[in-house]
Amino acid sequence: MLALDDVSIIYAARSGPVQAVSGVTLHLPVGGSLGLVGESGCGKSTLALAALSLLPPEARLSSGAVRLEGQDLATLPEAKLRRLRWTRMAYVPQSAQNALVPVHSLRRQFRDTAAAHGMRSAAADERAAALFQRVELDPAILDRFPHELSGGMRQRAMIALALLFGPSLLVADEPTTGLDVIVQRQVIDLLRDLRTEDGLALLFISHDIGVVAELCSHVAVLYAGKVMESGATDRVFSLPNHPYTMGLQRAFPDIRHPERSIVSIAGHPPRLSAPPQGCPFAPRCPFAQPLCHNTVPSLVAGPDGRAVACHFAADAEALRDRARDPALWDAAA
Amino acid sequence: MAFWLYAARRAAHTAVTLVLLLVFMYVLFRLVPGDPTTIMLGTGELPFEAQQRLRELWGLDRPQWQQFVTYAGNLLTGDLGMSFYFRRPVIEIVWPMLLNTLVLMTPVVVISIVLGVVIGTWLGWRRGERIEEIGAILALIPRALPVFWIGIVLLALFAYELRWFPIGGMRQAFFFPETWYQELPFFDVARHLVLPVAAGVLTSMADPLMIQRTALIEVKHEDFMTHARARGLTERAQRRLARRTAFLPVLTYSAIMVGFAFGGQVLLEVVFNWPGIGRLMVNSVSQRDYPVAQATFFLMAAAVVTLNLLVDLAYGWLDPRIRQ
Amino acid sequence: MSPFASWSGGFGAIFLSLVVLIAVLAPWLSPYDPLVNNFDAAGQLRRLAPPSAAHLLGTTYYGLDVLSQLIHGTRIVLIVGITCAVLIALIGTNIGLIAGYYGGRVDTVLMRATDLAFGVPFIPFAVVLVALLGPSLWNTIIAISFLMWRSTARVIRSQVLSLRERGFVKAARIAGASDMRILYVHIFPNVLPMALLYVSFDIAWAVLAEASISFLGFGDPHQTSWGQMLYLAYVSGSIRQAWWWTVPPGAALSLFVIAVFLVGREYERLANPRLR
Repeated sequence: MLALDDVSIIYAARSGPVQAVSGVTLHLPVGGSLGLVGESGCGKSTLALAALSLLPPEARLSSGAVRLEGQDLATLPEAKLRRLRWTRMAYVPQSAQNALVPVHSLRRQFRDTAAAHGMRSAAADERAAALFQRVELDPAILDRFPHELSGGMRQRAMIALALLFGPSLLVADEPTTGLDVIVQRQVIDLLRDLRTEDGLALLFISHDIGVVAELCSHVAVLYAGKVMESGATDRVFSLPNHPYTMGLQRAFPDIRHPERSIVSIAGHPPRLSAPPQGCPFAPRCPFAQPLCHNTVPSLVAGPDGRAVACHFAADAEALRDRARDPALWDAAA
Repeated sequence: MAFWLYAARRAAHTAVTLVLLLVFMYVLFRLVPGDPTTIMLGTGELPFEAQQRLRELWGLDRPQWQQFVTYAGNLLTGDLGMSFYFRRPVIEIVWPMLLNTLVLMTPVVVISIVLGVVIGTWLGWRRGERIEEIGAILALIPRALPVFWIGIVLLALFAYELRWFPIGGMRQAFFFPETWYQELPFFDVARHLVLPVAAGVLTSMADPLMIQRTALIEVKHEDFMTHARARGLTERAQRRLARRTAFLPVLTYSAIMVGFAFGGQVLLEVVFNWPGIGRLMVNSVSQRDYPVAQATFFLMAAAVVTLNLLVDLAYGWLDPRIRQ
Repeated sequence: MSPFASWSGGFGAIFLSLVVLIAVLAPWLSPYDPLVNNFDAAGQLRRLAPPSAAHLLGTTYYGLDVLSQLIHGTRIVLIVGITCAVLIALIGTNIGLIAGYYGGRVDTVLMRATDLAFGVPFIPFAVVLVALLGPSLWNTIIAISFLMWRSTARVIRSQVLSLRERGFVKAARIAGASDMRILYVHIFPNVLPMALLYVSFDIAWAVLAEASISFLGFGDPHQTSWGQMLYLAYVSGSIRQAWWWTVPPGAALSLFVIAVFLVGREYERLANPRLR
């Protein structure tokens, strides 16, 4: 379905080039689900845009390829790409508040999207009403303006809009950020239903590993534009092999282990305009050795379909034990 | 519903501004040395008693606020007084001139905004390209040109030198059409309009252009533009969307622009001898014909205030977020 | 930033320095007295003489030397531009500061006054006021400054509104600083860049306004300004042939305003890098 092969993306910033994503390889099968997790600024959203071939003009794919159903998106002419968008792949952005056109009613936005792909207004209206029912919104809301809706309604309208042409891939970039817990729940349930009932492939981006664990069968943990660890979600989160995943896991409350205290990983992600020489996580890693600071570990595939980029992946068992101590994480930096 | 409430609030706001404007004018025109009895009668000294009687007749002995109420009432009901110079009611003189002014001003404002928005969108869309860089600087130039100078240059070139257009005025006294198109009802006026409209558009197009360009550049970075691209909208549809959203600041500006347009209008009318209220105003001020000067000033100010209201209403209509 | 853009800012700065230099040295630079009529050997008034070695830019209908008038015109430009900009900045910045900082009724009153100022058509107002007060350079300056503060006031106010809620202002208030101190020591330096930007553009607008008023015949009859040169060329019916009389003042005026815009733009880019 969607394959990212060794993708690197460089932003041309005022202060010089910034390597936002380096050498990321991901694979999302038809009807599959892949979660991208990491702190803000780790390159998640950039990857989402790259997957849709929507990078802003100041960003460029410096190496690698993005393939949708085997087609390299970079080689497609803009006109072909345009027809591919929304019919094959749709997008639910971070903030529905800003992503909906503020001066048009929802109906108008459905119609404009439909018109771009040759669907008539009457057909678009009919389809929009049906989709609104699917996402449990009153079709009367179609005539409202975005600012007249609540955050949850907007996000559901956004998802309905994404389903206009029944795409086979949905890229959702932090779709629950800024929503209250109950609405978050509704949106997550909706996405899960879509996945199971409609067979939609889902690329889901979030900083919240709990949500990812619930929605995605596979996960990739990103740090400083690189994949630190990837594999089946339940395996990665129950037995993390990378110290960063361990820390990330301890940073969220776990319903199964309410007694565990929440830690925060001390320090900040590195500046991507001047990346560190060795492992990008080394400056914050409580287990870092001199080797880590000097040599970049490569992403090594394991026997169970997992991959880890850590020099000490072989010692993961022992590291997991040590990582249980909350004091460890505070002391690192 | 929300729109009507919004409209009523804006209208009330405008009414207050209009009253304040009248107070302002009342004070301004009282700055004239002496009072209307001495002005009207020119240099000739009137016997004290006669002057006194005139004062009573005109209500100049009453308290200021009463005088103001009468003054405002008269202006608002179209009783603009008698012209000292023409010896006729001011309204009779001003009314046809006001229409003439609108004949010149409307095309100037409309063409300026349309051209400004179109070119501004085009430049903003090509942000970062060489052509945009140069275009943005070239756009500064017409804004810097004094409109009356452009008028003089256009006159010297196209009216005196090349004789393509008339040298001024609105109609030719004895115009004999020679071909079919010259017989069209507005041909003569249209011919006279070309140069003043060109001068006006050239100088007032720059502001809407720059505002549209800046707004468009900002809009381009909005999430909804990325989303529009993701939805597969054609480049044309995307640009239309950006233009539509970026147009709102231009609309706000257009109210101010109309205010400026009256200033430019005065200059245009003088240069091109256009028989409008701008030229009338300059002449009446020079002739110390204060009732006419006052009436023209009031009409221009009232027009600016009213147009401000209309623009506010249009804004509320185009941007549903404002109404709340 | 492209070299073309920074080149334009440099051009503006050089042109403005040149104008200042010419204004200072005007009496020594100008070949003739700008207000004294010139006669030829036969005692005839040199009416509308085209450019020649004696008169590089020709003469006017009244036999005055165009080049000398052009040179002396720079003085009016500078006096009007600088005085108006200072007055406008003083009025506009203070009204914006006070309205934005105190809010409430003070804000309402001041903003109503600003709305009113926006409702008054500028050139007609200036013409009426100058005509009532009597044409003189000072009255022109007063008439221009009396309305032009309006946009500065609005912009500064909206800046103050957001600054007022910032931490450093709150901290100053808690520390017991007086309103005056907060306004002029803490807030003012933060609105200064924006105020300066507006000042720079106000110079251009004020100069154009003065030229317009003079062109309408309400300029100071004892001074030589570029606007007045165009007025006299127009009313004497000379625009048809005497291009040497109409082109130089108009072109100089336009170049001056463009130069101010370019310098202002450059300053804006330096002060607010987000724009470029």
